[in-house]
Amino acid sequence: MRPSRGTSVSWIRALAAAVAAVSAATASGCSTGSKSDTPAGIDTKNAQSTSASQVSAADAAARTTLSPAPGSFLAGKTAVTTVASTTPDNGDVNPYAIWPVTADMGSLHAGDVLVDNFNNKSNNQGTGTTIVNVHPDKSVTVFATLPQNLAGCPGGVGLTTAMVVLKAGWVIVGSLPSTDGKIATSGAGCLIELTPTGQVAGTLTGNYISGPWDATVLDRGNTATLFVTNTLVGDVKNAGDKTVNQGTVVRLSLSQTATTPPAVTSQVVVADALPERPDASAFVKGPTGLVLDPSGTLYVGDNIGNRVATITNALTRMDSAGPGGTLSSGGQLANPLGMDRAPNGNLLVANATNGKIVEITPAGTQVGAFYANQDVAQDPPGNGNLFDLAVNQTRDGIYFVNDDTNTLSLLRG
Amino acid sequence: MSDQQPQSSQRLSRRNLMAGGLLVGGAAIGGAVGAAAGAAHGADARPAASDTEPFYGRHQSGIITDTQQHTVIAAFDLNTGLREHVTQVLSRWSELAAQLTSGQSATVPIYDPPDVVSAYANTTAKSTTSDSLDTWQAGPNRLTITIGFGRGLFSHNGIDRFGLADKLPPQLAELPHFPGDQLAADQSNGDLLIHACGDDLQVVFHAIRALARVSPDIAALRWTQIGYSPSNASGTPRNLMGFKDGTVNSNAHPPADLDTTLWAGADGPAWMRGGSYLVYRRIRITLEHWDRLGLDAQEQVIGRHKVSGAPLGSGREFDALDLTARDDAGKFHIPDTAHVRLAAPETNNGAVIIRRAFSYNNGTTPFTERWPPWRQALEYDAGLLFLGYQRDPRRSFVPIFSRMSINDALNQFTTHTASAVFALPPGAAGPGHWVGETLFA
Repeated sequence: MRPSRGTSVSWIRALAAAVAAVSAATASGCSTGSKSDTPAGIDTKNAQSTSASQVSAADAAARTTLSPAPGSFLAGKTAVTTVASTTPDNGDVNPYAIWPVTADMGSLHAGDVLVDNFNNKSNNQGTGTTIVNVHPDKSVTVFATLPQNLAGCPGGVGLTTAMVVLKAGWVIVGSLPSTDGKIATSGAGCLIELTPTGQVAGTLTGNYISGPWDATVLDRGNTATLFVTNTLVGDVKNAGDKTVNQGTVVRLSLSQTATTPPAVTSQVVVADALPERPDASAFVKGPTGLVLDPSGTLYVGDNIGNRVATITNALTRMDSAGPGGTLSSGGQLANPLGMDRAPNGNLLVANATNGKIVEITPAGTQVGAFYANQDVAQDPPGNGNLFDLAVNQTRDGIYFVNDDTNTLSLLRG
Repeated sequence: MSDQQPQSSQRLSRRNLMAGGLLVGGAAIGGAVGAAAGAAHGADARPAASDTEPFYGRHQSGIITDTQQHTVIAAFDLNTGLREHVTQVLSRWSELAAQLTSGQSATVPIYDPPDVVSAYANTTAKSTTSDSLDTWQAGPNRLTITIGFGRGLFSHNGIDRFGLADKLPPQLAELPHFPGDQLAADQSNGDLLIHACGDDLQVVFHAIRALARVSPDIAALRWTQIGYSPSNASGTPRNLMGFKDGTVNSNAHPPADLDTTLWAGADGPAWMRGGSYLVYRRIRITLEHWDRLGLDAQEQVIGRHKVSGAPLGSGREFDALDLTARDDAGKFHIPDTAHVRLAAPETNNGAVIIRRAFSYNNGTTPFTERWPPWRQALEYDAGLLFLGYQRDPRRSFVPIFSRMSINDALNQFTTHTASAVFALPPGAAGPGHWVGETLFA
């Protein structure tokens, strides 16, 4: 049996009837009216809150607030604009690294923002091969499209948050590859060197690279000190739900010219024993964000440890600080990922398990949090959507990626 | 209104008209309401409860026809370089379509010229012209058959096979790549389109099947897609996300008649006057993820209340969108990224799309959700068939969706998996005429 589709009623009469019906529903809904206007089977509470017992700690943390203190970098910053989609024509998704370009070099121009993608168009993690260039007018071009496999990059290409642009024009980007999006097919990866026009100039591999996840650099022109976090040290692949306390931070001394790509002249593991773990939904977790303080202290986003670790004398030490000291843990932090240093010297930290950006002083005080990604499609809102963040070129805002919508956003006052 | 008066038999339903929205109703078109009133007046003069939609008319049926419950969309590749072959196929399609829409069983006007190599050559007898009879006596079921032309008719790999290249309408532009597109080439585009709609799926499929039999060696099926829509007898039907789809509001916007928004005009080639342009997108919706979301969260994504269909902050389905309204805390009732905000004409320089909404369900396939948390599973290949009609896609669909593809909160639940653009020529005037004759004249 099929209702006739309004063939016997004029459009106007159908409309009038519908309006009347809705009006009646509204009227009764606003009063104590009959329940027949409310469909059965509707849970008006958030469905996900009913499973809160599984994630109650994360939910509770997400619901707390920390208004930015006066004088903090986050203070007064509430305006988020979507700058651009970071998905290029080849369909790569899952934007990770952000690098605001500050000088003209090759196809790069001051004001550009480079963003790389970790996933390919099938959304397999560890297979993204593109770096897009978001221009000041919000147009987007592809800066580099790398081959899926690259000699000298064990396991293939899947671009990570470890991306820096050197003053000499070279772009260094980490690869933590898989063949099917799963950790079981992951390779140790490499650091890939690109020319300022996005062409592959070489790779850096060695025992110091195993799952390069994030990076920061102290750039002196013809030499540079590069710090890289490794998240695949030890048998992470087969760790299941167990944590492997072997994640490292390595210090690489680089030498380069405008025509000779960077070469590693020395290497020191400055931190180790940091927790790493394979993850069904996030591929791998481990030490991530890095910020180098002018005093020589290196801050490490200890994702699993839910803290920011400190490695003192990071530029000079010849031994490992182990898992380092702790600048700050818990509170507004929810599994740190990307980090950057604000103009006031404070740390800005992107949370993994909610969409907040947290500001921490060098003394370890959390002085503010901004809920940058509140997407309710994840629980807690924004969970898994942030990754890298970076202070913008004009030093008055924060770029961050949204992995839910594959976009680059800017937070400003 | 001169040549745009809707045919009296073509009712203009509230479901057919949607201003700018892709999935869920945006705001109303004032002029459309006026046109609808005229159409309704005409409809009153006809016998009520007619089960037949006309095939002949100034405009093709199946565009502003009150949306039926079933659809089969079929795209064809032309395997010929001869203009005569194309005109023979098209004229026979119209001849047969007219009979099918009247609910008759019909002789299939097979076109099998000797210079065409048959896939069945020497292995079976010539094709029978008999009706398959699988819908004999089932009635017309408001069957409509709408015929369209893809860019491949005018230029195929740079070759002008039929001497039509200079008649390619600029409006029939290739769509740009939109962020997030995951288009399957073999499910997209095509040289010719037959879009059949009706209230009985077997009747609809019978029509496609019969038309495809006319000359399968010349016009070969490229892809087909089946869709459906629930009854609108109790109000605006709902899509698979559970929201009313196709709500028309009254609003304060200036009237815009169908000549301004829908029917091809003097800004394009003369042969398209009275036709329209169809943008087709198959949009996969991750219902598994959507169903995990609470009612409030879903409403924030859409920008409307789920039960009533009213804009957030309002009480009734047909209330106008107030995109500036804020709650006590100063937040927009309708969030920045809400679907209806981005779809609304107010935020799209008044751009309007008139659409027919069908859902589809192609079963289940292994799928990787493209938003956190990353997850692989066997998931429904189901969602929405977006069928948007407009005077010029370059001024409607393309600008509207360029913005939505970046900012729409719905994007994390949707993936566009197939796409096509077709020129829908004006209707055939009557028996002896055929859809497309203005192009080949």
